[in-house]
Amino acid sequence: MTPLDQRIDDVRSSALREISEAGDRSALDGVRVKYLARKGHIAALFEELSSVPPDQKPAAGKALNLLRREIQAAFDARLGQAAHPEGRRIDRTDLTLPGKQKWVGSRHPLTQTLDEIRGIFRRMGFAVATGPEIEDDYHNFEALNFPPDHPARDMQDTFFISKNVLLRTHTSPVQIRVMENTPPPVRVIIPGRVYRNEAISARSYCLFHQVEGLYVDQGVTFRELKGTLVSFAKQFYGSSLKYRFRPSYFPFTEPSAEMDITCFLCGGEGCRVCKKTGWLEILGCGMVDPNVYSFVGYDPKKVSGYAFGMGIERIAMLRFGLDDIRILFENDVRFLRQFA
Amino acid sequence: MRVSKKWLKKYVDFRIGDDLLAERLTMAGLEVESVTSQAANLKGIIVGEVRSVGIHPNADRLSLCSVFDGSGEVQVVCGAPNVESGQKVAFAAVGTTVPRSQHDPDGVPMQIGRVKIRGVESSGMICSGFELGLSDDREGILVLDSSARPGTPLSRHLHLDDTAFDIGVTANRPDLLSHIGVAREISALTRSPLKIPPVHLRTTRRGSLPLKVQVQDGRNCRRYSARVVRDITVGPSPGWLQALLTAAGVRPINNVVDVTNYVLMEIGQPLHAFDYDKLSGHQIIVRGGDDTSRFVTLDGKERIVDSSTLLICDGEGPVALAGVMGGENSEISGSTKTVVLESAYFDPVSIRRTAKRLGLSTEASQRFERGTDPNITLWALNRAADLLSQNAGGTVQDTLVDVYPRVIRELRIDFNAENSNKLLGIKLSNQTISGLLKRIGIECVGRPTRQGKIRFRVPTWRPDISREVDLIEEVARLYGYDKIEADTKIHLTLDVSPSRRSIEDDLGDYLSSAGYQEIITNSMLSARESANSTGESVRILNPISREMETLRSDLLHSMLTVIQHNINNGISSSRFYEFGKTYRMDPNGDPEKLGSFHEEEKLLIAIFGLQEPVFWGNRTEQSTIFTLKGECNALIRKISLDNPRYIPYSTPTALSERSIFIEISGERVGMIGTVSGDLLKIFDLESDIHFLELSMTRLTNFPKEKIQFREYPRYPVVTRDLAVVVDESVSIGDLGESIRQAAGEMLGEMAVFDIYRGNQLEPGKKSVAFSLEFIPREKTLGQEEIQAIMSRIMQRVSTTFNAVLRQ
Repeated sequence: MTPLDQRIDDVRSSALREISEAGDRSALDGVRVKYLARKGHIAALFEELSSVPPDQKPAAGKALNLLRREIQAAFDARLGQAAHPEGRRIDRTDLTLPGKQKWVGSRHPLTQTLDEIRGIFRRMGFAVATGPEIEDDYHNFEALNFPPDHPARDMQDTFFISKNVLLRTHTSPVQIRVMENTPPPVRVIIPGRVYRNEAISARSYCLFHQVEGLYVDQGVTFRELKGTLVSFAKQFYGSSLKYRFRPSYFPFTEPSAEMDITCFLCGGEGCRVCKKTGWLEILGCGMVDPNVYSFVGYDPKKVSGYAFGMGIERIAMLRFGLDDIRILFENDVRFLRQFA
Repeated sequence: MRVSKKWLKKYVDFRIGDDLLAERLTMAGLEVESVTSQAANLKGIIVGEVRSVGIHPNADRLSLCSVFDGSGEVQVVCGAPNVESGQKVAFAAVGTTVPRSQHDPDGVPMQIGRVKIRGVESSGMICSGFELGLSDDREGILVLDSSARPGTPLSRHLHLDDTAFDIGVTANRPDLLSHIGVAREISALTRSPLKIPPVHLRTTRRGSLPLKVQVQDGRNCRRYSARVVRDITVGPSPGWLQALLTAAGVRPINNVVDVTNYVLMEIGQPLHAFDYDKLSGHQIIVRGGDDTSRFVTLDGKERIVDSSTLLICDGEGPVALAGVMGGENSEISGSTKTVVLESAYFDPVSIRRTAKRLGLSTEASQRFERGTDPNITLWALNRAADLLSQNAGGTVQDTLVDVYPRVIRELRIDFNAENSNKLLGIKLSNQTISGLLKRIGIECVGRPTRQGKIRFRVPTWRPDISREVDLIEEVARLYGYDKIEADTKIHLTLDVSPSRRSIEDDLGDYLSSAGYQEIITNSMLSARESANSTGESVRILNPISREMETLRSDLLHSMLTVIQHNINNGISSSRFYEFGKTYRMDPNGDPEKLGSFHEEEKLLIAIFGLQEPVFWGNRTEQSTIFTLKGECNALIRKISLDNPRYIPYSTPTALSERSIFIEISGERVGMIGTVSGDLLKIFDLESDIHFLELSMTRLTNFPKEKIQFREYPRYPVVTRDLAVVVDESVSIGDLGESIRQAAGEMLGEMAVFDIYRGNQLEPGKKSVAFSLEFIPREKTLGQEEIQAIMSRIMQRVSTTFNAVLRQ
């Protein structure tokens, strides 16, 4: 395309746009003067014809004449409309053009999962508490009834900052902090980041997030613990869910249990995700061990309570069908966009 | 813990299917992680005979074998160095599945197909012990004894018809690290009696060999029992013993070692066998290490012994790390004639410290550190001696050593059914409770007291039970957690403190709606990335790697890692945000004190590329630092705080090329910046990246302004434009501030809508156009009033900035 052709195209598109956008007669007249008058843009283009090489002149002249007729016609048609303002105006806008897009953001899938869990427990009367990630041995282990030199400490591989200071391995130390600062009753959930010194793989990462729950009051029973967690699980996973509680061991609860639900991927038939068992472990729980009350100054004869905890990554992975935990921390836009 | 079904049946007669057994054990707290039937695992794998071994034409390390499968010969490519003609081997024909793939780190099952290996067809595979799940040997193929008949199923040839249950034993239950322990639970679940085999030991008095035992550290060695067995012949164990050990995941070695392992797996008592003739002075001394010295354990490794290490010594020095591992110097060898069997009870804490310190966890140490039963040492000792006499031709001497100065007795615990019922929310009678506990050997002693309390005697194999609540757990477990009905009708104390939505939720929701994508990143970084200007970075003593040896001191580095990842994947525009903590330590702070460490909650937003998606109607601009300055106003407004004040700072810092500090009520709450060139270089990035960082910790501390309705004037708003020409050096922020002051309280929104420099102006000048919104207070504004305000403004800016009205 020669430069002149390009200019012809530019003038055509801007003239046609301005004609269609002109709202009244005077605006339309302005457009006419700008393009069609003796000193208008089209006349200026005709003057340039003299500098076009002779062999291209006929074609260029023809194109310019076509342009003038076209613009004149559009002007006449528009003038007709403007002359009859009460008449129906024909809108020539191409409505198939795409709309003006916005960036669409979203919360991270882990936040979405946590929000939902938090919302359910809030409706069940739990307040939210938080605590530090850099913890001391006392809050992370000792006050939770992990005696020094006890094999239970091997359950959680720990990152140490010093002999006494470490990165918390669970959100449970916040239980201790809450009870240290509040007389019973306490009813809280505790979300937060925890660290484990484990090799990074598809199944485990050096850090993850937990939600912990704690309820201590008079006369709290194991039955109520079951009721609360069943209610949560049905709100989160659906009311037709099947579940089971089986005995387990955590130093800070006695009795301790783990809660399984029917694998929702295979419906309990057994698949890769549930390791052929038909069940998915979703949380650990139990009645607060009396030793813990002694550490925080509660009277184990007067109060009882329960605690529970779950890993948000695990729940999010099951929910969204992810098989590699690392993808959650990679933050690839193609991954994150799926959660908008 | 892997248990064999055949082995369990020696102690309890149960007749339920494997899957049901697994389920019932799981529901009793013995989580069965997998059930493996040996025969099912080896389905389709048969005995084959290697008829010939030739050279692979295209690969030096591969051989071309012809394998007879009982009916015909097939060609198989084999990579094992030990394949030879005439061998009987384990053969997997095309279509069968071998339990573990040699080439997969997790050893997942692999199906055998007809394949071409280096251009030569291979129909089947000769398997290694690893591939069959029979051993960890990956180096060569498994060679069977020559009597094997080609075509016979391998499981039948090897008598592999057992089923193994892998049980995840919790840290509080040492008693379950044995077949008898698991059998006791099965007995409780199925109500079939538990039968512990009696030991009928035949001993001799003839030609007694002396053995002196002296326990010097009685605190860490509470009981030491030993026996001498002589005239033994070390050799392979009988088939039945090897088969049981193999099924339980223990590799058979020789009859002496196998017998000690057998008793370990049977009742959970770790035993050690010393070569009697290698014990100097034929004596054993149990004592703590005196000084730091070196000692070679029987895995051939040199270990450093210190004063906290409990040692078994002979007349000269250490012969074993008590409860952890024996020494090379007293190890059983092929020529051993006489053995000393040790069966002891060591203090759990002492053993755990040694095992931890040396990073040496063994079958023995795992049991001792959880707590073995001090009252089974003799049973275990005699059992092993008896098995040695039967299977290694040994003669058991009748001299028995048993150093047990203070007997560890069974605990007695008072139990109140009312407490149990109150905690669990059920109603069980004393009788029911006693009946449940009796099934696992916890017997009721005496009669209930007048208050209804009963007393239980807890066997010493259950060191985890010392309080009433521990018994309550056993009651619940044996009664069945699933029989305790869930109660969804609860009593609740209602909260009476004010409810507040967190500003993090407010900001997160706003940002997501405004097109920002939330990210969550690792808070552990390399030391270089977390270098800190305001304190020391927090260092991890035992990091996973150098890349993660500190806690981050800003969110920018992890953000840039994410941006780099996305740009490398072809993403050219994005906007991200992250809520996260940063960490620092007081310079010279005491690392043992929690108070030396500080965590700050932050929000970081970063943008790069286009401001908005491309549009045909107008050209799309690149994001700039001003995109975020505008966003900052919106964010602060969203959480109802005072207007922020911006303080520009053009000197580059390590992180940013130019910065704007953000203050609210005189306190710095964050900054806006453009990522510095140095930092971009580190991340190998080229595009401009702008960021906004806010301290959530500080924002949360401000009192939130309450929304309070104010009457507003109901007169039309009037808008006027004002363009003034000023020197290039005049700051537009100052100019605007001056206009606002001159305009007075009627001025509402004020915006800059154009800045012009060019040939219509004198050089060194710029024209700035403001759009001003006036909100009348008392009456509709007339031309004159507006004019008066505009003149006032012009007067002020011409005095202060030498500004001229642009015509």
